[in-house]
Amino acid sequence: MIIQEQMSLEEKLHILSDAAKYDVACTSSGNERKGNGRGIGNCISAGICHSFSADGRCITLLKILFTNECVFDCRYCINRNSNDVPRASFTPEEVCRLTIEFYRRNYIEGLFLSSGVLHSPDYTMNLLCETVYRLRRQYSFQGYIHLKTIPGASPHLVEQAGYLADRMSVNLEFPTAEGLKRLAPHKSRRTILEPMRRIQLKSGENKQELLACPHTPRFVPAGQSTQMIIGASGESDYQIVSVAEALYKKFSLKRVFYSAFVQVNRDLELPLAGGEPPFLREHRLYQADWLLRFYGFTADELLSPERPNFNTSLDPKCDWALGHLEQFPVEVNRADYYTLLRVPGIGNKSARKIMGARRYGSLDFQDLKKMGVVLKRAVYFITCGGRMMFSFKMEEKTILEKLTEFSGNGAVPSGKPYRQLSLFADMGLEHE
Amino acid sequence: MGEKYVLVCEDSIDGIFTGVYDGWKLGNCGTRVELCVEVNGQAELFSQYLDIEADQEKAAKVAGTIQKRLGQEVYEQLCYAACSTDEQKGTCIYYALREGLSGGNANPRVLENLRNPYILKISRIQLAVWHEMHRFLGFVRFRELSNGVLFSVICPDYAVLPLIAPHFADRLPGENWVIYDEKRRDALVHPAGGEWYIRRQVEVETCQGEKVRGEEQYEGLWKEFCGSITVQERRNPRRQSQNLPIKYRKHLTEFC
Repeated sequence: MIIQEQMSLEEKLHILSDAAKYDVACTSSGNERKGNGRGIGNCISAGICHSFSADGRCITLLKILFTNECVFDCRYCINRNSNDVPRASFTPEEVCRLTIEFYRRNYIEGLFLSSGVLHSPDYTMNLLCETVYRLRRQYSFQGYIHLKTIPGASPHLVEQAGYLADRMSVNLEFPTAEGLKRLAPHKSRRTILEPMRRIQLKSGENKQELLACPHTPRFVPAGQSTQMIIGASGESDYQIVSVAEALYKKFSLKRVFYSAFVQVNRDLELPLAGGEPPFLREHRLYQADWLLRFYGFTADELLSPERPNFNTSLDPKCDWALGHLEQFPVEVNRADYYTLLRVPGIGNKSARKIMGARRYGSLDFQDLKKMGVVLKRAVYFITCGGRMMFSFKMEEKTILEKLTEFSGNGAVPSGKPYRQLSLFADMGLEHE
Repeated sequence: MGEKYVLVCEDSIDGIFTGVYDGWKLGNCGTRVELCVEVNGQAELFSQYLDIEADQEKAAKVAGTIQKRLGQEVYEQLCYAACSTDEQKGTCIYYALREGLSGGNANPRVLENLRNPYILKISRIQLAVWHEMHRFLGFVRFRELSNGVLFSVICPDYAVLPLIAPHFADRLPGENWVIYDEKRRDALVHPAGGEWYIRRQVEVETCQGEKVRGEEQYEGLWKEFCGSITVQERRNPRRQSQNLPIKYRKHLTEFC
């Protein structure tokens, strides 16, 4: 492969942003930093969306590869070594200039820098560190930087990067070691999880140092994230959600992203071509991810080895509620926060509003509706002042019908006939 | 008694807070007090209309009381509410404060009482203003003019200029920049190294020729970038419209 030496900046940007688009991490959140009065930039902890692309996703960072040259040959990746695609490479100066000029015009919150592996992991990581160092020191850039860790890079380089970036990430790609070995033979669990663990430990140390001395430089202040590809290695939803849960609990990750597998290569190890990427499955995984992080659910509550995949017609929370009707109805004027969160139609904001408003008096169904509770779903699961909205007891199958009616996003995939009552039989639930 | 006072205030945070200050004593004996920013239709019988001129000192006293006794969060939410276009915003702010400061004990959690219709309305309108303010933190687009000024035009539903100013002042302290609200004809001006201020009733002529050389290259690079990062298999114009309504696209470089 010959890199065209005289490639224009436009051509490079086209190639190297196109090559970066399958990394779906798209947030600029997690760190609050005021400007230092001399340089340029600041960070907002909630993150800011600057635009939305034609696929509906948020554009918030300049997401590019430093180079799409790569010595690895991961089967699912467009940039794999054995693919014949145009290759390009930025210089550190070009990356800095693009970032600063876009930032001044308020196009972006900052930089998301990843890379193919040029020569070796350490060689590449060095280039990334040099770029980000230049951006921070020479250009006094205080905005957001998300830097990828190259699997296999030396610990001292990863540490160096951690003092310059806000967030770092390394992609797990597959939930099982077997899947990784089959589809990304140059990577291994070790080269991915080791830097994750190091960053986690160093962050913990850094927090202690900050307590003693608040002016200590911060290490990866916005935490870590990772990504898993969905639908390429035959894994079940249960496996994916269990791994995500372990990453949150044991590695203190801030976010796990799920990316529906898009067929860019033909390879014997990959699923056969044809058919849409598994978008509904990806959607269910994000719903489950939210339940793990904000609603106090565990992976084992949502799925099990006997029931390893999500219901296509119902979101995971409704599905859980229907399978645990003995826990309902919940009295909204007395239940605690986490019990309220288990009710379909009540989210974090509504639950907090209920907790606040009921200090001033008893709430009825009209009050709940005004506060934004989705009564269409919640009515089957709550009482106000001891009374349900309907005076007769609804049968489980009726509730199921009503819920699937309103489950707008949970459209049954085309080609499969809609099955009603057999849903319970399939799940092995006894209808009493 | 059908008697009530209607205070006609300037449509600004200072204007409404001045109205609150002047209306406080009037409402002490239980007489109904309403605040509005313009008189619509016929004046009502048995209502006394008072024109209130915005007074920075009075407004600052009200702001100070709210911040000290009810906290920064309540203060911010009331500021957002004051920037909305709802007719009843002034009255709602007045009665929310009356509830929060009644009986000598200030209640910093007053805005949680959503059974109070005034407070329920405040929670809605302040959220709408906050959402728009937050959106514009991302949707402001600057272009560099030949005189070195970074210039931007926006068309917001609400008067968000004073709300977004601190963010950009912190982000770009060393730049000369201007954000122009073409709906209200207000200009938010920030000189390099200085403090921001707002100039009202400004007419601005903008023409392509004023852009600095090289500006078009960066606009082109940005448009190129927004196109390249789209995953074609995930194309979803409906979702894009939901997240980015057409009304915001007029001044976004990538859609021009």
